[in-house]
Amino acid sequence: MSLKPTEFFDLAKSLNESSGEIYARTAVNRAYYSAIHRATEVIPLDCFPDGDDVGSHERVIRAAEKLGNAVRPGRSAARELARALRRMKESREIADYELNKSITNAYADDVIERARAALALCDDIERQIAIATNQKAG
Amino acid sequence: MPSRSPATAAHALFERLSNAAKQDDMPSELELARIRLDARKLMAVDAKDAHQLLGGIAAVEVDEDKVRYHHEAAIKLTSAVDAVRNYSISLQLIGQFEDAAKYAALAAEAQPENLSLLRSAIDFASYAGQPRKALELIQVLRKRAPDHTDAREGIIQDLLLVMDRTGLTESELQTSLKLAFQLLRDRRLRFGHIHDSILLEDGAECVHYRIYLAADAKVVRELDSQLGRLLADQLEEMHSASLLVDYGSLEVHKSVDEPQTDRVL
Repeated sequence: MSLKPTEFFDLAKSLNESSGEIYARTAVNRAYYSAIHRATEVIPLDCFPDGDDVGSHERVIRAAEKLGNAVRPGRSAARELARALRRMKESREIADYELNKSITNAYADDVIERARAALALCDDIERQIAIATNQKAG
Repeated sequence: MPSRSPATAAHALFERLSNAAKQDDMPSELELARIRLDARKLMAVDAKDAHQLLGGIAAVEVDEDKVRYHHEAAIKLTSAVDAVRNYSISLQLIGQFEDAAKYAALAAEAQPENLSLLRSAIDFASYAGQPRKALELIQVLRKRAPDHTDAREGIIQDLLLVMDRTGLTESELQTSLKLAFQLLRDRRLRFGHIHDSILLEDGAECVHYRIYLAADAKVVRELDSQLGRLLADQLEEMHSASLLVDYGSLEVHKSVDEPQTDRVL
């Protein structure tokens, strides 16, 4: 990957420094994508649902839910992550599609802070999986 | 907010308390202190009303022990339906929706012609995460008023459909909502509105309860994060993809979300 998910997050913050709805809406979108991409990186592949009956973002949320309900490293953080992604997905859909609603910089800031927390949960999952893998190998 | 129909000395106090409780944020301490003082003066002449007023004040201040103490004292002193109804209203103000629904249904049985009591019971059962109980109450409402349609029926039917499709259980729904309101009671925080919505999109079904708080966005985020940890710790199985119970800041979301259901007063 030539681009890191956290670069989306940095862009979101940068965009939201400019006052105006278009910046706020785009910042929400980028913040959400930073979390969804990072979650895709850290959640084990076998947690992702088979088939294409659900959308790609929904698959990530369901994968986080599956990890959260399994007896595996990262379980607790995955539960919180699934919930955080669900919430941000809703915000992103409002920002991208519901143009009749007013999206403020304060709203975007709230989503950015939630994305920051989601990224920390992803780091936690990655760390716990790495610890478990090392213990198994050692 | 607790209220009383006949115009009595207590009536003005009920009105003042009702106006104070309608605000999303905490009413002024001074105004509550004045009402409390007047309610205590009333105790010598009209204890049942005084207890209901003090129970209502306790609800506004999110003090569950005092809510239960005063309203239960009032119910012991009178068989009037108002006392039962007022208890249910105070219970809903502190997010004890299961008990609020129980007392609203009792009041509705005692006053079958008063459909608003039954509608309150339906709302409260919904927010308690008891869709089947709410549906039973809607059937009672239909019998009493065959031409009447309840706005919640569609939401409840959709909720049951999502539960059927996703495996989300009534127990998880109830536990999630209970934890969310318990956390607010522990912090003595009032909620402003509850917005419930159902997404029925194939493969992405989701039930969403958002509880709005009149607190700073950062405080709301921290509380929401705490709720996320509580849910993660305490639910045996978690349907995070199908159920979202969260807090929203009234300040941040007021321009985006139109609250679907106001606090019932």
